[in-house]
Amino acid sequence: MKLLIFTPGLKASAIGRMTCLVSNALIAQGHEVVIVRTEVNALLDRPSHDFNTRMISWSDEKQVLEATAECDVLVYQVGDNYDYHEGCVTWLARLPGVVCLHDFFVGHMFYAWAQKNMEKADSILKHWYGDEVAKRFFKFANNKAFIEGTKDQAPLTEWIASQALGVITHSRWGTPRVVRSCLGSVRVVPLAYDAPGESEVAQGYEPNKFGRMKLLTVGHINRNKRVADVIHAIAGSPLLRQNVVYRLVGAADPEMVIELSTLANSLRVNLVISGAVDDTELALAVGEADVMSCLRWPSLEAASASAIEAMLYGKAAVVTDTGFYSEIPDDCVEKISHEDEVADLRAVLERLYSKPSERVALGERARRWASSTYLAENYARQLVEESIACQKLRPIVTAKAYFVEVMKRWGATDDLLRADDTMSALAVMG
Amino acid sequence: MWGGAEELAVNLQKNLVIAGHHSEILRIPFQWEPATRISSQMLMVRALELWNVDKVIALKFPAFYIRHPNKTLWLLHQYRQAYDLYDAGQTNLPPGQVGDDIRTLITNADNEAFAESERIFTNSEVTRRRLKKYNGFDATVLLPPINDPGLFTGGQSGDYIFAGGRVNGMKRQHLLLDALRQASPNVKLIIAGPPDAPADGDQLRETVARLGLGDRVKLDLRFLPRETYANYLNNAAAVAYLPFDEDSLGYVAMEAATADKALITTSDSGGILGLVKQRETGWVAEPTTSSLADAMSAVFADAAVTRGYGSGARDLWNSFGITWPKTVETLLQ
Repeated sequence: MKLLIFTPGLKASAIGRMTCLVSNALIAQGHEVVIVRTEVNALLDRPSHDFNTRMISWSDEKQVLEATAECDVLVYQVGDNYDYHEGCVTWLARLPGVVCLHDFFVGHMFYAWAQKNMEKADSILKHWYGDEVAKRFFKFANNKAFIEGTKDQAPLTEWIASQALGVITHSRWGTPRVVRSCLGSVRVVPLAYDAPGESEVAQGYEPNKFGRMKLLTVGHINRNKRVADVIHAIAGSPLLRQNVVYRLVGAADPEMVIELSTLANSLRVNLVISGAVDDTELALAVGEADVMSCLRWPSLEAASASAIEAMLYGKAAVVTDTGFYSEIPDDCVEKISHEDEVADLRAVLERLYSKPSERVALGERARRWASSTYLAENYARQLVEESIACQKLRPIVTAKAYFVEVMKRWGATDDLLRADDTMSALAVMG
Repeated sequence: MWGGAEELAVNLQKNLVIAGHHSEILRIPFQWEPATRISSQMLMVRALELWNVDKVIALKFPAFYIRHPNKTLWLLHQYRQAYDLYDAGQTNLPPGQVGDDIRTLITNADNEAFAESERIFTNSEVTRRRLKKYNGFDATVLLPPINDPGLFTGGQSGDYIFAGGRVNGMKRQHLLLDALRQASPNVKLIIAGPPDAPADGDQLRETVARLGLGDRVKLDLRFLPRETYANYLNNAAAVAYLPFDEDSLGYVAMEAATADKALITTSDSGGILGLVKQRETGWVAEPTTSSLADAMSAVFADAAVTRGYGSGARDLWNSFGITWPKTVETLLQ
């Protein structure tokens, strides 16, 4: 099969990294892959993952159309980041294909896309969520209010899924909206991920090195990762305050660095903020960690690369009992209730510190399970199966699109298109 | 539903075959009610493709949405409830935005179908004017021939006026009953044809009973064999046909003219007026009881005059030179 895969390619993208693994697996299985990089123009010349195949840019229309003519299926890797996925949104609207949906909330991407497509955006919001939601959508005071006000009412997954011939996503919790809006099949496939250099890292690992338990959070440091609550949990326990080093690895805004440093100092918590690091350093940081904090609230992603990475490296991981994390087997991670987050976390960390063997056993169970679950080979096989299913669906989708186009050319309003008597007639096509 | 348009299609096909062509009729089901399903039926027709034929001749809404690179319209019917009947307050489209949306859809879809047609003919001047007024398209009038002229040879001038064809409110047979009560006592009436709905027949029967006209009126309300219909017509003194704003000359009127029969119609009957000329081929009454009663009485006041009008009707019809061979040739140009 010939697959044209739209994805961010730059190294900072975890989706790009995952797609790179899948692309290599597809090629190993005998398929042909062409990569279309989808970042905004300003990021297109950044160094990319090694996809080991031809790469073109989404903004080169001629090349994309030529590649489309030669391929069997188009695949779009979609996450909630317009800067990384502008090419996906643009081409998905023109050429439907299989969507690999990485987030069950794409409101940020929609918001950014809407700045140049306000009329269409307004129509999309009204169509899926009604006039009241459409009125409010662009008027929230800040990002926190925006997420709180839209994550349940207007996650915009329908916007993406309704344009897809089929959807692959990576956990079940957000699929009902996707199933309702996608014409084709929706399948849940564990994310493809790996732990490069895991064996070397494991060899150099010393539990509680220098007598301290090293707790690690990786990724872009924002409020969603609950760092302040982790600091409070450590501060609330003399045992933890005395014996835990909490390290943050990943980009962080200066204001966030100052805020967290001030908090940790005032509570006498040993906090190390390392900032953004390269892949090698990140692997070392994970390798020497005793426990990884993968807390999230709210949790809007279909899968968490950092939680999977923690498990693949055999680390004891602490997660919030929500969304994707809830679907991980209970004996592979420590699950924390969001409602009682600080107290729960304190108790779990005290136990993990006091019982290193239990910690090791937890990490080992997680490693074994994750190593047999998050496989690029499996993902590639299922992507091909989904692509074949979508090829079969294409005539139906084309027919429906034709009818909608005809109705719109005749001046049909959205109300007339949505009317039961119109919809029921089109339902005969499946 | 089987009416004039369906008869025309059958005879067009027959005459295309006579002219040496392969021809088939594609009947497309369409239901007016509920009006909210009209749009999906329009879509259904729009999805039809007939690429394995050389030419498509489309006759009416929504059949003329069918796609073909060599499509000629012989327009018998648009969806009048979206046009003139809407303006006249006689639409079945729902009130408010929903109805407006469907009307817009029909107008735009019609315009698209008309624009892609190679040629547009209409079955009457009324249809041509309506098309020009509401859609802005020019067309050529191509009057339909009658289907079986051999049946309408004329006969005795009997003692009744014949009103044939489909029975419904738009054809206004009830006006004739109201007028009959005021007409001369020697005037008799036969109304024969299939009611569109049972209520249409019931209404006529009730009116006859209420007005005490049982001895002067015969109601034969059913789908008549052609021979029976022709027999009623051939032996009538005159033929009355007064639909509201009919698009075409009307088969009843054309067949009556072929059979040398004087005609009665009303001033608001539309296309029929192309064949009924006051005191030349019959009587053009106002659509009122008294005016119609006068016309009906006049049929039996002077038999020679009435026969003269019948001859006039035949001559006028023949002057149109409307025959199937010519019609087929024109449609295939």
